[in-house]
Amino acid sequence: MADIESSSGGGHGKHKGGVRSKKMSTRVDLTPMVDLAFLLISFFMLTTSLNKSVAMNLSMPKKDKDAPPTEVKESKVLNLIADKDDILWYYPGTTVAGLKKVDYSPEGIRDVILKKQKEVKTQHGLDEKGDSQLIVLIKMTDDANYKNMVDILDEMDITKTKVYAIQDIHPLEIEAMANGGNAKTSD
Amino acid sequence: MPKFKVKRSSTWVDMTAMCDVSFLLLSFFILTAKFKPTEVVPIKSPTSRASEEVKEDMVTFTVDADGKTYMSIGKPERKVQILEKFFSLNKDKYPGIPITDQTKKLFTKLEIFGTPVNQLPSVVTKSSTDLIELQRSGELKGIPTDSTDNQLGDWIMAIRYVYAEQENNDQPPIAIKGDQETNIKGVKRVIEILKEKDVNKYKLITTLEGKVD
Repeated sequence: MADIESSSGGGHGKHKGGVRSKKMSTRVDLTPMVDLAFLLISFFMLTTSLNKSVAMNLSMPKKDKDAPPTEVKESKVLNLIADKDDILWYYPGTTVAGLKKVDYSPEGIRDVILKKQKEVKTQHGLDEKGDSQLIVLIKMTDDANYKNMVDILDEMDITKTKVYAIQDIHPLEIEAMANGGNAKTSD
Repeated sequence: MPKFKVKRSSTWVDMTAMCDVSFLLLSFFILTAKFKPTEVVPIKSPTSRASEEVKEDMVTFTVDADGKTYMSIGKPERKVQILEKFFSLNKDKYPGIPITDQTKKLFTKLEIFGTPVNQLPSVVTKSSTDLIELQRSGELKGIPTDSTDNQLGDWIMAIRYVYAEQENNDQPPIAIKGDQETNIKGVKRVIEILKEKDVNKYKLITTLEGKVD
């Protein structure tokens, strides 16, 4: 208990019949202290849990120069090219033509991927696991930054695109980007 | 009918016990909370939705905002093993670097390593405040990654050997941590070297989305 026994017979010996000390409760109201303590607890709990690093798994194909490149259906492919200043280019298929700009917002890149996923689904259906058969090829110019790469990989996770690969950029694509979407010499 | 007198009890609740408990919890949280150490290499990781927790025992390659590469080994006992392996694998490549027992001991304490290997004996003697100072002034050059002087590749090889021998683990736990502003070239180069050395699975370290720091 918070209260201390206060003896009433305190200074009796010195002052005979003197002033009677008033008996006061020594009980302290601890409610504000409890409030404060819980406030601090919640503060510490919230701040510690927020500052956490998380990991993202990334698997790359094995180095095997003799292996022939995997043949893919052109209609399943979507190319994404991360450029400088948070610009993202995309074009479907394997012919470098008709590159369009888009941004990293949910209304931008995510819509492009989801739309393409729908197209692929109507043409090829889903695979045996029920995932989209879309193949995304991710390329990055030398001016892109690391955040762009993580953003794209994150988008793959959000849209549940299972098949994607990080590839080197093709000179034709650099040319097309410089010309605003179409390469002059397309093959 | 007998009259019942309702006993008036006090509404005073004794808060002492509650106060005790809450302060106990408070001190527990304060004591167990790990303070963010001043990092030698300040990194602002990009955010992602990934949710896997980062394990402490990973080997992390850090790419800072200037594109320099650093290495930090999570398990202290692996540090000496990797260092010894590095020099036993590349005896002829990096001659004349004095590695004493003292150097090895200091290397174990080194939080993050990011210089060409010939500076290793001098850099391990520096305190972490000195290292922060060196990093600020740009004197930590990072581990060389160019194809002519691919020291990072040799480190990765040493790491692979050590993990294969000690833990029978063909794919060592490797993570890449990059600053969100860093040019992709540095990260791409690290990925390229990892691929050259047959490391195909690794993690990218990011921070949880929704938090702006």
